[in-house]
Amino acid sequence: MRVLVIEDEKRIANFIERGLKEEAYVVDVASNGVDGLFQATNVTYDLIVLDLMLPDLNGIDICREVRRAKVNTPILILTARDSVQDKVRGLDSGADDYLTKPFSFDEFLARVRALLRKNRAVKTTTLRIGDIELDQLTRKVKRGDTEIHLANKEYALLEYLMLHANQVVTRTMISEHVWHEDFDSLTNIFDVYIHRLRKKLNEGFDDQLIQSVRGVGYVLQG
Amino acid sequence: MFNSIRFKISVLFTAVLGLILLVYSSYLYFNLSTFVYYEVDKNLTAKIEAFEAIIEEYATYLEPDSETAPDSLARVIELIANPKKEFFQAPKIKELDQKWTFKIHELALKRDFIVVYYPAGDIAIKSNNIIDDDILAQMQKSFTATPHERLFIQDVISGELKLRIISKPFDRFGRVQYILQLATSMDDVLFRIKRRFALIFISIPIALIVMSILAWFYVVMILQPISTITKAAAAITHKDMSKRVTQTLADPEIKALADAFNNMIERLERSFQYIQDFSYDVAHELRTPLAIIRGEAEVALRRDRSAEEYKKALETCLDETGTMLKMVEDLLLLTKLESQPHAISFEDLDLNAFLEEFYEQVKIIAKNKSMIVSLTVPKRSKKIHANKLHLRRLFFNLVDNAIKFTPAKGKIDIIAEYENKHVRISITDNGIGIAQEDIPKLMKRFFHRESPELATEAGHGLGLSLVHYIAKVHQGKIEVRSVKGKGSTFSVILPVVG
Repeated sequence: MRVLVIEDEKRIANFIERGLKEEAYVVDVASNGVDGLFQATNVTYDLIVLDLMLPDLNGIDICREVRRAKVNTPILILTARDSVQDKVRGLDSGADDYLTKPFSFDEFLARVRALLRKNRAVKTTTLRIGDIELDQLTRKVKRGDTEIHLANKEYALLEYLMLHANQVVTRTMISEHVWHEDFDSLTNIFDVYIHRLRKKLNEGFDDQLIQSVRGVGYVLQG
Repeated sequence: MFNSIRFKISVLFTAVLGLILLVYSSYLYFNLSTFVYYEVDKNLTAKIEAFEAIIEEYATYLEPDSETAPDSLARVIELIANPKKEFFQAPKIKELDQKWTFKIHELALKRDFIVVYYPAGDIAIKSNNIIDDDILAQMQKSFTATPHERLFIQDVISGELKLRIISKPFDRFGRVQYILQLATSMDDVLFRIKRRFALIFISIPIALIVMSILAWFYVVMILQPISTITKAAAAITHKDMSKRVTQTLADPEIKALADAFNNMIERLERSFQYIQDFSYDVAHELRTPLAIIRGEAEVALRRDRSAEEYKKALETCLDETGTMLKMVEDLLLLTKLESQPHAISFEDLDLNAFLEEFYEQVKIIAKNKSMIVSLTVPKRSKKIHANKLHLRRLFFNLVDNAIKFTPAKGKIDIIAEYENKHVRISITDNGIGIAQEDIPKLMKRFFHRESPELATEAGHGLGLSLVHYIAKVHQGKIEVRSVKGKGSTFSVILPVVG
């Protein structure tokens, strides 16, 4: 899951970035409106966290511009303004949710999760494909009754594959949503992680859940 | 009710009217009675002169010379006093009798009492209508008190009868022959005066009652706008200050009150708005460091970490606490400068010594950013009346800004020069400058210069507000000149003592 944080206050951006990364999100930070708008409209994100008070561009304007560019990524506004009027203006400009500073980080994460499952058919925090079960809250993965311990990246990779089950997930998609885009998608790093993931998931099982589609990517069959 | 303006004004109106009516009626009464007496006296004089004239005529006819005068005159008098009792056949006498009879009617003499005395005091004759002895006695008493050589008028009372008596000597052949006395009853006249005034005095309370009722309603009417104002005032709360008194048809005085009231509400509304904005700004500005502290702590606590990571989180929290503390302190100082400038103590400072001391401190700070700071002071130092601590704060804030908004290896010049009775201390940098439209907003609270490249350098937005207010309590001012991209000059203009 790739998140863009547009926030000019370095220290706030800093702890949000760290906190999200620890939850296996891929995080980009833009410290001003112009960069933020550019990234939001040119990179595919799963979520945008937007501060309203930016030194150059107004957060509301960014929100409008993003929507005008037909980008439907959920937007979570993060601001010190807490009047009803401000909230209405923020939400009406195309944002999906509004959180005032100072905020509880747990609540922030819960809202991030809620926004991420917005376009999903099943709105639970537990994903199930075949006999694999992934709990997004505890980040525990089970196959049958066996708990499987995954590293951060392995978890993010599996979560992404499960969210796109029965679809071909391209290497580009993986590079954009699970890794930072600056990773060269041609390197074999994905193969390494896919290999490890397969190994962990298949321990004691016969069938191959993650299949390669030659020259394109991978598919998780339910 | 008894304390209300309505009541007080009604009572006042009524009392004033009552007093005026009373004074006026009294005046009228005395004036009228004087006039009536004057009329009565005029009448009496006319009567006695007519009486005298007729005697003269009879006497002239009957007594051409002085020798026979007294006797015949006595007859005349008798004849006059009791006409028709005796009858003279002579045609001239007949004519005189008719004339006298006519006069008696014309002057209404029948009801008056007439007595003629000899100068010695004996009664020569008296009219028949004097039956009451007391009346005669009173008239005689008046005669005794009368100076016999001229006309005299006197009031006497006989029983229930009030009499006004006129006495006049009758001269003939060079000496007083008789004293004529005529008394008329005043009862009629007095009764008429009394009745008139009884009517006036009865009408006074009626006028007063009508007046008090009218005054009541009149006062209610003129006080009507005040109750409108009262209603408007009652409708105003700190939540809704938009209400105003709309009294377009009111009297000028009430209109002035309504205007003053509206102006007061206007000022209050502005103050409230200011306080509201201020609290909002403060809350808003405190939120960012709070968000950092909270977020940093929460993220740190989400899992077990190395000591190094905890240390970093705590350092961030401490830093932010410092920021907040500084902001709160500055806010308190700002409030003090604004609300109680008289509480600040001043002393005479040597300008050059102050600037040189300040310059030494600034050099150390500037060194960290490899900046060059220069100071130019006038040859002859003058004194300024200042609070050293606050003034140092003012200059420090300006220099701090200059350092913040000037890239490394920049140059800052501090120049002091005299201008008449003032000193201008300019701090010039060659930094990023300020957009023209931002200059007027600089001194406002929480105005942050929106420079993306230096966003992190921006302070808490109170520095220049403090500068502004410190200059103000020193009777000085701040001037800003700036060219975007080239640098800024902040000038502090302070009065010099001597």
